[in-house]
Amino acid sequence: MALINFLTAWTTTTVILTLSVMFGASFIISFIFWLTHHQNLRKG
Amino acid sequence: MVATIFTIIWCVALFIFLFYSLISLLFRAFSYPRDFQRFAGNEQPEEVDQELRYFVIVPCFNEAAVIKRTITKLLSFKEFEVIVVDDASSDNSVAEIKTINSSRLHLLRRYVPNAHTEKGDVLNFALDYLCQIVIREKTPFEKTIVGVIDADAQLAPNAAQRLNAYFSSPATNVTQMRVKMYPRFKNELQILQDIEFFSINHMSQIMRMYTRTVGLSGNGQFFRLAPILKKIGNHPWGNALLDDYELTIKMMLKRLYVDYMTDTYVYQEALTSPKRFIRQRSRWVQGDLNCLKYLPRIVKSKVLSVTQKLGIYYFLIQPWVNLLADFAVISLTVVTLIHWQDRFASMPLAMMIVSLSALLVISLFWGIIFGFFYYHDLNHFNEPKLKLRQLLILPLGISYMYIILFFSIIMAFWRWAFHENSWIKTDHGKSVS
Repeated sequence: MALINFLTAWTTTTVILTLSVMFGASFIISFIFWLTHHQNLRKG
Repeated sequence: MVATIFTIIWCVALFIFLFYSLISLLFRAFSYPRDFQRFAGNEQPEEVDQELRYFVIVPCFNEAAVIKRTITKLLSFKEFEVIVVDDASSDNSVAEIKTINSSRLHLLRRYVPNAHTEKGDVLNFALDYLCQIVIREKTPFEKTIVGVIDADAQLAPNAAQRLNAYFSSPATNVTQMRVKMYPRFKNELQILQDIEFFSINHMSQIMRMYTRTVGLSGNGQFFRLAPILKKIGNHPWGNALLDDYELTIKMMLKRLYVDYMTDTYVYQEALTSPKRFIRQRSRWVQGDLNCLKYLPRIVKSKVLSVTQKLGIYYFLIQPWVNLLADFAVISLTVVTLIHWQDRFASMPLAMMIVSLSALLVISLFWGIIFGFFYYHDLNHFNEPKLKLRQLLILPLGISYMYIILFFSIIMAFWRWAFHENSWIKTDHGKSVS
């Protein structure tokens, strides 16, 4: 099974960038979801 | 190639987990404090409806160790009538129940070969009996409130007051109480179950209030009889192993949305044995897989909003995502360890220490966040505090609990694939609980 070689600068950078983008995207999407739904509470 | 596929699977699973956890956290931290009064039962009505009549159904199968305590506690609420359904127990459960003398206690018994089927059958059996009573005594279905409590459960002292507050409004239909494990934990596994129910699930349920996707948890569910009979039918519970979520889906498909009670709760027993814990969770995962039969109806539904559909899809794909993600994590970890010497041996020591420390901190992030909310929740309700040692290992336990759950997922898929649908029941009140 081939592994990502973290000793190569460009693969390391790519991996870190991908992870950062993924984390960043999930934060942004979550925040937008919250903004669009946080007034939705139904009156019980 | 395989490593790449597993990495992609891991990334997708991580994204789903992050998204779900983050939105739950945002609703819990910012929206819930603002809207507290609007959660089920938290707002006091101008006038409490004195005509409400409560029936609490308690399914019982070999619960001699706990059933008397449970019924006695339920009868201490003067509003409740208790219907215990003994499902042909082979222990002293019936004898224990018969020692209780109360006109508000109804004992129903099922006998083999009709007994030992699914929990849904037991609940439907009780509902048939209950309907006969309310029809005979001319109690309006709109005023009849039905609850389901597990044989090991106990309600918080303010439960009846909160239920009265909620059901006094005629617009209300169904509510699920917050769930908590009994305090005085015997081991760390019990603490993990408590944090899962009392704080993590609580966070999710709060978020679901805003998306109208609150799920029933089986224990601590209460509903008004009229809308259930009218929209779902005389036998609302189905035969999925996860009868509570199955009922949730059936209700949502008929525009009946569950509300969530945050300020009262139902106690239940936490398991102490990892083996029994895995077995219990495998039943739940298998029950989730059983609910896949509703997928076509959910996809085609014109009643459900996109958000509601996404909420249900999330629940239904959880076993699959967990299975794939666990395989990915285990495979990638094993491969990394095997190739450790080739790849990382030449890495400077300082860089190695920094990288491993960063990995550890990232892996504990959600454990620390959830642990903080749990600590806050225990203080808020004056529940017994944890010891310092327990507090310190809490983030580690929360973050790595999925390793134990992996075995339950494997077991569930195995049983599901071979159609082994018998009810693996959890024992209560035994030495291993």
